[in-house]
Amino acid sequence: MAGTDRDYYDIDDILMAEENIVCTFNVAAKRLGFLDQSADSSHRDVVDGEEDNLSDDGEDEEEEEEEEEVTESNGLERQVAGDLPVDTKVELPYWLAETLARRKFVMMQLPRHYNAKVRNDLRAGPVAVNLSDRSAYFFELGFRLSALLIDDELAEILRKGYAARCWRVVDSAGWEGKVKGLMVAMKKLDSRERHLYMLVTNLINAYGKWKERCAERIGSARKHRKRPYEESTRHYHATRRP
Amino acid sequence: MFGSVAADLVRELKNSKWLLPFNESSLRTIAIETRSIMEMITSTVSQFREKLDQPEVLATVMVFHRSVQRNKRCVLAYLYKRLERMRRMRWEYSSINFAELSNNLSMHERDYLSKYNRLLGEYCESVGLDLTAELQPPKDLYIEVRVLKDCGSILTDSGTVNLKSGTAHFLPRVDVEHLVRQGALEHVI
Repeated sequence: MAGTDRDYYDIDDILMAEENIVCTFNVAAKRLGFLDQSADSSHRDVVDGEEDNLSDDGEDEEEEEEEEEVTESNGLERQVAGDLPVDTKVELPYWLAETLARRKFVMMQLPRHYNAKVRNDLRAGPVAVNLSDRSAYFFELGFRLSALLIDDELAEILRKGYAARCWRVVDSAGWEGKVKGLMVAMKKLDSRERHLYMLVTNLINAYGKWKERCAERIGSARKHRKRPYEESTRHYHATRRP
Repeated sequence: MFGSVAADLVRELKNSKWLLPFNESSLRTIAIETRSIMEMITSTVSQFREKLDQPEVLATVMVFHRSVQRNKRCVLAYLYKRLERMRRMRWEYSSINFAELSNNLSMHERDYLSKYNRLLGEYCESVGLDLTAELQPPKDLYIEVRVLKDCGSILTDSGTVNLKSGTAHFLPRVDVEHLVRQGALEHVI
């Protein structure tokens, strides 16, 4: 991806970019009518009808030919034939919105879960805010958006909030009851924090195993075939990869 | 919306740590979708040939172009992560267990795996050491094992040992580690 130094194959990065963002089009983009899901089909039909009338007059013979070609090729083409008027609000996934916003084709609107209320909450008590309800990639997306929209205030709040929450995550992963802690803690975390939580939990488990002198026991593939290499070997893979 | 099938494909990958069956139908759908987007790009460009520098057209082409790139990225990530998992499993479990797994692999993946196996085998042979054994540094050269399934007899440095189920043995780690990994023996301590 242009302009990022992220891993091209990173699954989380890919899924993060799937989050929807409301955008307003600055230009009347041709043939993008299909992006506007709120528009009903009747509107599109009217547009098509007008074009038909035009071509009936014999003014745009060339365009008529084009249209025919388009409709013949497949159904999807026909569906997208309508233009998108200026100032239309459309929900676009981040991967599309980012590129369009960089070139000023659309105006991005900051998602609602970064509004003043959430900012105040994050400022007041970062640990208590429930992020998983709002967005699974709250911090990741927030950092990107704040850089893109040059929103220094948001960046600062996110940075401080994340730092404060990190300690809480590590604490609860390490010292709260294993099962209960997991259920309670996971509820409020976004995906990045969940990853951190799992890392710490695995670390504690590995330490416990080492203390009980069973870390060097050879594991069997059959025992955990249902969930292979998830917990027992992640620690090991971090140090040595094939 | 474009890319939704591709996103589902990646999500499927994330939701399981195991190698799920190769999702060929989704890949095919994505390929068809990508091809139709490409057609839209060419038809848009030919339709607005004189107005290509105008933002209205540029935005359209960019949306299509990004969709193609997005599909490509999702599919490549899917394929690449699967290969990565296959390689990891090859190192963790012996190649025998892969027989059951191969139902979940595509033809090309199976081909890749067998070639990878051969490469690894050749390399181990040239080094004179089984690299996939003893993944963790051993504390002791001998381990105590309990036999869960009959394995016949194996040859160790000190002679032949008959591994009958239910018996326990104190054996060199090197000789039995692969059997423990396969689940035929149990490592006591």
